[in-house]
Amino acid sequence: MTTVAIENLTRHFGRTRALDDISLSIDDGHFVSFLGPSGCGKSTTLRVLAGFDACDRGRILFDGQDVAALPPEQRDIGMVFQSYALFPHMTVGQNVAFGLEMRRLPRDAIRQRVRAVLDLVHLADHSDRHPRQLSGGQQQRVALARALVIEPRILLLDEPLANLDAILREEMRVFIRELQQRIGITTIYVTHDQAEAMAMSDMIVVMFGGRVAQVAPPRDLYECPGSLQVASFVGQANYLAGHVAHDNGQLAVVTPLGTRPLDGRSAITAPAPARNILIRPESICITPPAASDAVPATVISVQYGGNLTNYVLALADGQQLHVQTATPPSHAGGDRVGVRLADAPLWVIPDCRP
Amino acid sequence: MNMPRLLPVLCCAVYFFLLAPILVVVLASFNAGAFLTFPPQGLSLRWYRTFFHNAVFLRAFIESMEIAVAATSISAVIGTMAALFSMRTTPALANIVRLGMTLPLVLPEVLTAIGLLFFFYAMGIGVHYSVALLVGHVLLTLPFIYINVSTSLRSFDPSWELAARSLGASPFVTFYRVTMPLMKSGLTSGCLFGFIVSFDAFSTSFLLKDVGTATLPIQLFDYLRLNFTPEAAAVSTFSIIVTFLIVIMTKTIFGIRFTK
Repeated sequence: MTTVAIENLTRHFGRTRALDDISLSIDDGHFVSFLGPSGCGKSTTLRVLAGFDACDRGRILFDGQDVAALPPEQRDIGMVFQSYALFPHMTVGQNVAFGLEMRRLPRDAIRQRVRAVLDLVHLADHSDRHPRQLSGGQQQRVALARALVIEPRILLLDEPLANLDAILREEMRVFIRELQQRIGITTIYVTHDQAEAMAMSDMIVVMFGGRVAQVAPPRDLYECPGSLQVASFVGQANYLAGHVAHDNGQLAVVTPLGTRPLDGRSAITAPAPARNILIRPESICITPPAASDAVPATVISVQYGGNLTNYVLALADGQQLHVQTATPPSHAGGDRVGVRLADAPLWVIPDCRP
Repeated sequence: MNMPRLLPVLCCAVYFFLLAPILVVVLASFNAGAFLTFPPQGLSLRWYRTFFHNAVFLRAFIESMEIAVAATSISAVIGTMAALFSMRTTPALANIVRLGMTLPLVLPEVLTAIGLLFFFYAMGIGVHYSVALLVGHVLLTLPFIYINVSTSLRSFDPSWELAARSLGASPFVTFYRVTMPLMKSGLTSGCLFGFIVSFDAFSTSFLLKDVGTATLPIQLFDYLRLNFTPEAAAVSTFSIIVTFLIVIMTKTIFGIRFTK
């Protein structure tokens, strides 16, 4: 269907650089999320892709065709807005039919396709309702149907779940991802919620300050972040000062909590001094204080989270560690415990000294 | 005092003082006698017949209608454009536009009219061809259109227009299919207000009218200075009916509901 390529996209607002030389390519049928804090340029990128905002420099290629100069109505995109943007003076059916009317389809074909797409989002019997008579989740699905019915080349979603409550948000995540995979449409999704991006995407683009910080599949992003900033934005992280050394002919990471093999995805090929080692909270185990290979620590606080328990521990030198276990709380603040690293390779954050 | 029981009485009193004079005029217009008195001396439609045969009054009525329609139409375009601009621009600039658009409402009508009179004489146009009169009436009606359209745009989500564009609508089709229908109620009630204000305007018309022409309120004023027949009441009643008809017509044609 459609591949998207962005080349050297730059956009200024006054003197601030909203987009700073963004380049990226998106494979056909992929679900790509733009993730970042507010003001990082992810929404601006989407607006430029949709044609709502012009870029100062750069090219936007849909299937190799440069669309940067085209107005939005000629780009053949489907867009879902954070506010859903359903036309309040039209019924659900009229909203969905709008894009088909713009394409001058015969009336029968329009009726057929509207019914089919409303079936797809389970709203076939709501065709004559007005948007204000629907719940937030239903409005969301109408917005999705309206964007999909025109069979656009790409689907753009701008924080579509931000206005829904937590339970519905989880449901819609699954729904949107499933629908996207069934149709196989190239999709670009903007969000500031890292859990959302991880759950839905084939590929995540992390942005900070108008620049692309890293492009990677969700798992690589979480396990092998390219910088401290990315590591901290995507989930919780501990950093230990350590170094890379030879160990039995292999490269190993030496940390105050023990030595583990170096992650095979790392670009490091030789021993390296003084590096920041990423330790995710779930890769630290709490042991009895006297266990053989454990390092002593003190429990500072415990947070019960139902299926998970979060601890904050302090090592003897005062460094705090976030630890997450899948067991109910078994320690209280002030307890003396031991900690050891899980038996898994460790990721060294590239080009970053403690 | 018991407030809840006093309230309906107060309401009725207010309505009475507001509507009684109009009722008196309407009743007086059916007077069979030769003088404008109340209660009427006998019932007759003779003063309506006199009015419909009075070329001066009829010409004034048509002049008033023409000016009101022309002024409201021009204001509708300018006021709507200004309201759309205020919605899309920065808050600071929007405030300046709002101030400019509502200024004619704040300034005394007489001052605006005198200012325009000096201006048009300085320009060498004077009051010929009703240009000054038309400009005066546009200024009078503009604030009503601007305020009403702005109000109906207050809950307007700019994403609606972007959504329409993304679905393949050109800017013009977007305006026609999305923006326009969503501000229609404001535009219609603004035009209605504007029309009535223009139809009713006295100071502006009095100062800016071309020599030899007159709008209905001015003709009525001229007439009452020298005559005191129920024909004046007949003219007034007729314009009340016309105004009502216009309100009802707009309501049915544009289907605006006055409650949301």
